[in-house]
Amino acid sequence: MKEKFISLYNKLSDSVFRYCLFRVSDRDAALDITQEAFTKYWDVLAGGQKINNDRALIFTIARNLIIDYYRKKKSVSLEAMTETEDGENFEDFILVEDNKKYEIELETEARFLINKIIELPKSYQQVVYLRFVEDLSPNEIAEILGVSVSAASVRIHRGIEELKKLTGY
Amino acid sequence: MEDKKLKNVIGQIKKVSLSQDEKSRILHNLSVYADFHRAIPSPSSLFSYFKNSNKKFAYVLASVIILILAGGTAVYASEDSLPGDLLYPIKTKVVEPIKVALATTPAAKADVEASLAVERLKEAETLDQKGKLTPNIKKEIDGNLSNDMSNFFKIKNQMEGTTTDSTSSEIENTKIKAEFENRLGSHKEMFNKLNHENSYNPSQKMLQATSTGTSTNSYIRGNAKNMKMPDSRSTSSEYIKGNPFQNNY
Repeated sequence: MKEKFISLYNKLSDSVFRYCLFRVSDRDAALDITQEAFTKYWDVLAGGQKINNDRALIFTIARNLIIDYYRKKKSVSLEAMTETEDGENFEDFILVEDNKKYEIELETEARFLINKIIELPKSYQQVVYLRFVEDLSPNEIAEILGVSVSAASVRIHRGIEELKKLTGY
Repeated sequence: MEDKKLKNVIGQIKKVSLSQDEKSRILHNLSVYADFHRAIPSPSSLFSYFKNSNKKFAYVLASVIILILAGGTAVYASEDSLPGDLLYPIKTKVVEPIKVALATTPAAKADVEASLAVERLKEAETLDQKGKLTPNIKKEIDGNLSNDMSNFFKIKNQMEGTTTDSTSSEIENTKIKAEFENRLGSHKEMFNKLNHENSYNPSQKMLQATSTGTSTNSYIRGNAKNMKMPDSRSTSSEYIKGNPFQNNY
C-alpha cells in the first residue's frame, strides 16, 4: 500500500504543487498544502475506502485545503474577497493576487498564457487550467469542483473558446 | 502548428514544479506519517465491507451467512413437523438436542426431556387425528419417547443422588414416575394407546425397568397394588396389565 502511495506521489506531486502555487501565490504555503493533501490522501487510502480516481481525489483534497487557507487568511485584499459576476466563490480564481504572480518564474510564452487565463471570466479560469495544463478529464474536473459533468464540460468548452480568442492559439 | 506551439507553452508552464530538495523532503515527511499511521480498518458498515474488501472472501462470508439464515428457517419450519415429514429429523436430531444442551441445570434438563416426551405424544395425537398413525410410525414415536423418558429418569435419578443401579429409595423413584405421569397430563390417553396397540413398546418397558436393564424392582414396587412383578423378559400382555396409569383411572 505504501508503495502505491509513493508511486502516486512521484507521479502527481509536481502537478498538485503547481496547482497550489498558482492558486495561493506563496511557495511555502503551496508546499505545506501539497504535503497536507498527500497526508490526507494516505488517510483515505489506509482507511480502506475505495478510491475511484486518484487524481480527482488528490486535487479535490488540495482544492479544499486551499479554500481553508483563504478562510483563515482573512486579511486578503478586497480584490480577492469579491465574488465573480457569475456568483462564483472567490476561491475559484486561478491567480488571486495580481501583484504576486511575478513571484512565479515563467518563461515568456508561458507567462503570456497564464496571463491570458487570468483574463478569462473567473468561472472559466480553473477549468481551463486544469484541462489544459494538468490534462485532467472533464469528469475529474467536475468531481474536483463539485459540479455536474455537463456544467464542467460547458465551462471547459466556453473557456477554451475564449482563450483562443485572447491568445490566437 | 498551433497545437505544437501550445504544447510547447504548456510544457513551459509545467516547469513550475517542486525542486528535488523540496520533493524529497515532503516525501520523507509523508513516509514517516504513513509508517506511523498504518492501514486501519475503517468502521464502515457491513455493506461497504462487501464492496471494498477481497471479493473472494466476501463471497465465502456471504454464503456462510446465507446458510445460517437458511438453516434458521429450516429450524423454524421444523418446529411443527411430524414423523414422516422431511424436516422431522431436523427437529429431533438438531433442534431438540440443542434445547437439552441449552438447559444448564439438571432440573432444567429434566424439564426439557419431559417436554420432549410430551411433544412425541402430541405428534402421535396429531397423526392419529389425521389417520396417519401407522404401526411403523408408532414404533418410531415410541422409540423416541422411550429415549426421552430414559433421559428424564436418568437425570432425575442423578438429581436425587441415586444411581440406576441402586435399589434404594424406591420412594424417590415413585416420586419421579409420578412426576412424569403428571407432566404427561392430558396426553396420557395417547400414551396408553401407544402401549396398547403396540406389542413392542419400549416406553412402557421404561416404566418397568431402567435403561440399563438392572434393578427393575424399585420402579415396580411403588405400584404393587395392581401389578404383578414382571421381569425384563415378561410378555407384552403383562405389561399392558401392569400399566401404572391404570392405577389412577
